[in-house]
Amino acid sequence: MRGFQKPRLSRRTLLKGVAATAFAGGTVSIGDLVGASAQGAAAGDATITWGEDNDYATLDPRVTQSRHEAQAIMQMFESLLFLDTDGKFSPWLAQRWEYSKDGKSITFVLRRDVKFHDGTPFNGDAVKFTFDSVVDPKLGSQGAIDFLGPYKSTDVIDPYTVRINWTQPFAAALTNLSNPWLLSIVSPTAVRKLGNDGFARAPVGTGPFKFVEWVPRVRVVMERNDAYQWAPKVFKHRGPAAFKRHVIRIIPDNSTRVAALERGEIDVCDAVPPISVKQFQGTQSFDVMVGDVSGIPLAHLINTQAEPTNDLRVRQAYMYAINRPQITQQVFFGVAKPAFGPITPTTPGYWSGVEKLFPYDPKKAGSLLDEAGWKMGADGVRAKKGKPLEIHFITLLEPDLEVAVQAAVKEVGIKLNVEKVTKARQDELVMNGRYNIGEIRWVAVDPSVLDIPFQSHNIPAPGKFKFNWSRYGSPQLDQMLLHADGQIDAKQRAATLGEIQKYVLDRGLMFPVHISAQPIGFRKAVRNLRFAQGYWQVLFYDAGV
Amino acid sequence: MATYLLRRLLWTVPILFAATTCAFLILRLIPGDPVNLMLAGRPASEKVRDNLRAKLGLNRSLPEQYAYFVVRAVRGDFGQSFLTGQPVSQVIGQQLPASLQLAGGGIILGVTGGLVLGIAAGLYPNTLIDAGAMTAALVGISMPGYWTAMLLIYLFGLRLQWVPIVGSGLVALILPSVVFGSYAVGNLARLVRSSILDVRNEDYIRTARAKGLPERRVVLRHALRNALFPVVTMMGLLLGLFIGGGVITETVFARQGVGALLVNAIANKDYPVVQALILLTTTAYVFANFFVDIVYIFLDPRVRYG
Amino acid sequence: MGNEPAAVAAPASPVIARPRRDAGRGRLRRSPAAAVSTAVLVAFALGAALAPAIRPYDPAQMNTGPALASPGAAHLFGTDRYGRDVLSRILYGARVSLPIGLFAVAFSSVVGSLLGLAMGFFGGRIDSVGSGAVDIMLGFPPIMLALLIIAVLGVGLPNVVIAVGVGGVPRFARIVRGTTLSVRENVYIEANRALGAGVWRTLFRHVLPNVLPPIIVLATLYMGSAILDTSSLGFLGLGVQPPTSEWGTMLSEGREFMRFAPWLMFFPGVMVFITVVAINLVGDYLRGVLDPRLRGR
Repeated sequence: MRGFQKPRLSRRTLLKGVAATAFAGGTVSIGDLVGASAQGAAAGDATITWGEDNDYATLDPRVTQSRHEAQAIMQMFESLLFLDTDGKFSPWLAQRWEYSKDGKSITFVLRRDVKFHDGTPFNGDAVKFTFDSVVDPKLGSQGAIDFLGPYKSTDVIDPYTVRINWTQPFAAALTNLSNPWLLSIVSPTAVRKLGNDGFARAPVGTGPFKFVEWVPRVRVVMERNDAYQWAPKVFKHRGPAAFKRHVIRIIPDNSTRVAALERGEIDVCDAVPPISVKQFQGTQSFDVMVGDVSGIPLAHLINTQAEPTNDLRVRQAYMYAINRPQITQQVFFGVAKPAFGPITPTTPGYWSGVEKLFPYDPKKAGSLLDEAGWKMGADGVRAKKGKPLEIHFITLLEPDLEVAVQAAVKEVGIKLNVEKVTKARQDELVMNGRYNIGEIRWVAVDPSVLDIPFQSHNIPAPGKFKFNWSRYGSPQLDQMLLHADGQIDAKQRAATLGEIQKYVLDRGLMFPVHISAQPIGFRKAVRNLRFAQGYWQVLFYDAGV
Repeated sequence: MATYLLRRLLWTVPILFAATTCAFLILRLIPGDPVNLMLAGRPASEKVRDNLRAKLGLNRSLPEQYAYFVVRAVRGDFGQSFLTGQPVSQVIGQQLPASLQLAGGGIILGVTGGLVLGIAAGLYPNTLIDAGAMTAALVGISMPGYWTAMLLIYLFGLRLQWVPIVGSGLVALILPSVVFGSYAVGNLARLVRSSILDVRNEDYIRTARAKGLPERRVVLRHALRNALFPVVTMMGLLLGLFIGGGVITETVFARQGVGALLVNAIANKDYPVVQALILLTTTAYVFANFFVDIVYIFLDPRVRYG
Repeated sequence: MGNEPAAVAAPASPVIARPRRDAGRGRLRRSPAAAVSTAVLVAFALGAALAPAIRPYDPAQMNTGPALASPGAAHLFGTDRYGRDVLSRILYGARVSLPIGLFAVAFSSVVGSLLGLAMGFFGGRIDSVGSGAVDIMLGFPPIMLALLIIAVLGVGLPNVVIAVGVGGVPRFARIVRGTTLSVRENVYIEANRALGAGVWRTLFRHVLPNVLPPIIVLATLYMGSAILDTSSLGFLGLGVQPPTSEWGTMLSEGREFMRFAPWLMFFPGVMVFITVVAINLVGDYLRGVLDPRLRGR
């Protein structure tokens, strides 16, 4: 082991070797690389591989509620219009659109040259079929149905003209309809042939990549759609994609996924753990792009129906007891920023007043708890009438963060029982109300995303998995949300949204913690990766090696 | 001999029966409505639920359900995964090759290592070689598999970079096989040593020595025969255990495999998969043991079983 | 019936732990390896018991130092990603990892021995049914049994103990049954019964002492597996919930930071390893002492 060097140095030396040998794809001569990237007779035959950190359950855009499934869906499906990260709309499957006078309908003129992957034509019938099926209870939509707003119907005026009608003006209409994750158009032929369940496992859309296979827990394979000619103008590339195969490898284990990127097993790495971000930045062959995700930040939803969090003072004490900037810095090594409001600063309608609410104040937390009758005990845990102050916290998304939160609230005498759960157990507990606090986050570019956690019809129940986990239903809040959804005038909308943000924080329904950061690690040889709206998913159409 | 084998074969029946019953009952022991689990929180009208209940057969009597379960199981139909909706047989089929690879690698390394150490110790008992081999064996059975795996990954994967950490090729199989086989090496080494020592004092060995044959040849030819018993048992054990036993190895190396699938299915309450895996595991284990018995008969026809 | 699982049949490794016969006096001198092992185990047990007094920091306290600090003066075993002191967490981890191994073995040995005693002594239907159940349980691969029990009962420490404990019951039952059977034939017992001594009296005063040695040996040997199995379940995330530390769980937490802070995985693993080695050496020694067949090898 002569000449043995510390890992950092030897990696760099080896990486230099990689660059020198032009995409050797591996750092060591002994290495068995599956799906060796960036090889093939011509660049056009290349495969680009994405390392995904989460497993998939469905690939149907109408059903999904997962930002991870969206990564695959977005390569295969498209929506009526395109919203770029700079906030501008441009034509996509629709060439132009027009609001009706009463603001309750939008007429879209569709492109005529678009075909689905199964060869059937894209037309007004497909649009109507898609949206009608989203609101159909039989489908079981967990995301799209909320994004469609107060949808009434779609009229097919002629094969390439449709008019979408809402029961009232829907301010988020264009923004949401530009979302290829949830409101993209599916092939009616395929759905009719395969059924909803079958379609979820073998999706058919209009996107630049078409579905080839999905081995659950292992990979999703897509291939270039050779008939693709209708890319939005924002992309540099025209026509079919520049590379042939797009593979998504599912590698939930963080260190394994990072190692896979280092060794060339994958070209792009999803969700690089914060501690590894520095490792890739500024090297010769790798780089990291970090997206600050907009929408709902990582937040805690507090159950107002279960003891002891049914007491407003307890909820507020919880919120005063946590030092968000400090915890965020500690847990994410500086890669993420703290959040103070139900929507992030980059989301339209953000009210900066939230930054003044609930600063870190353990003394205030203590006095609130005293007031509520919870007296500090000798063991450091507060108690009332012999019962200790225990709060049941279920964590699925960010257990590392919640362990830090647990330590923080212990200082004021709250015993936070953190339970690490799987999705199945989370769903079970949530639907039956057996929790005090749960986590939420949601990628979105429009403030109508607030409907998801706060609309009273989204309170979960057995058989109904929705996201109003604070279980707070007030007609007043519902009204405000509806009003904001329908308010086309930006200034008035912002005013209502400000009220909503103050309302939910004052009542301790939600405790925002940090803005999600999405660090994407990639080999520099892969060009033109582009964040989708919201800064979580990455679009591969433009990419090449 | 034939009666013995027949009796052993018959014994597999109640074991398999118990396994199927367990597998069948597991769905009903868990609190919660299986229909809810299958729907995973998707809103559904009463009609859809009734349809699902009928599809899962939950509206029939318990014995009837059991009969259907067994009949379908024999055909290889275990229903659909709650998680992905894929046919369970397909799900398991996709993960099986990786597990079999791991079992194969583990058996090869485990048996080789165990034999080498055990023979060395048996040939030179109470010497430094013996002590060294037995220390290695002790280490083998005392190391937690997950720790061995992590140490090996750190040493050979990260620091020395001799071996890839991820991947599904043959080279990537080396470290996991070492981990999977390490417990076997330890146990086998001790057993082989013991078998050889048992034989050394036997009369026929003394006779052979008296005839002037070289010691090593004598021991190896005769004692080894004796030592093959634990080897075969160990192989059978490893083969039969590869489903559940590979769990730790597959988890640490982030490999595909039925062990990881099982843990995942249990954590996600994917009961059709759990049921199928219980059956599969027990069947494999039972038949591996049975196979071992058959091999014993060929190894030593003198063996009489009670 | 069926084959003995190899793990239990593995005979002692007398080379290391063999009790040497003192030729002069004919007494058994203790093996140094076993003595050291016992001392180590006692030290660990003491450390666990006295943890609240001797720990340098509160194991759940965050930011006692910089996060992921390497072992040094202030933190002998370094710190984890939250700045928690690893040595303190290991001390407290012993309070979990050691007892659950102990309880699992206690469960297995008590339940299994009672079952075996009954089967061997009373024979008849009890024996048939019992043997059948034992063989069926042995037909299940061990980890599967443990995982199944967790699947039904849920995660958590008590369930881990039960899961691992249940797995050991059939082995104890079988061994105890065998020994009981041979002891039962003992003329002394027959005579006693002929004289009208009660069943229970016979069982406990005469049968049990003879059956005890193999139980002890098996219990010691099984203790090693119990600790390995319970920590494996902890590693899989099926044991304690945060912020409790347990050696297996600490290892799985440390995995992600392997390249930056290898001490996070080294120390908990070393603790499990040393504990199991010590237990195995003591077990080998006991077997050498208590199993007459192995003397002189």
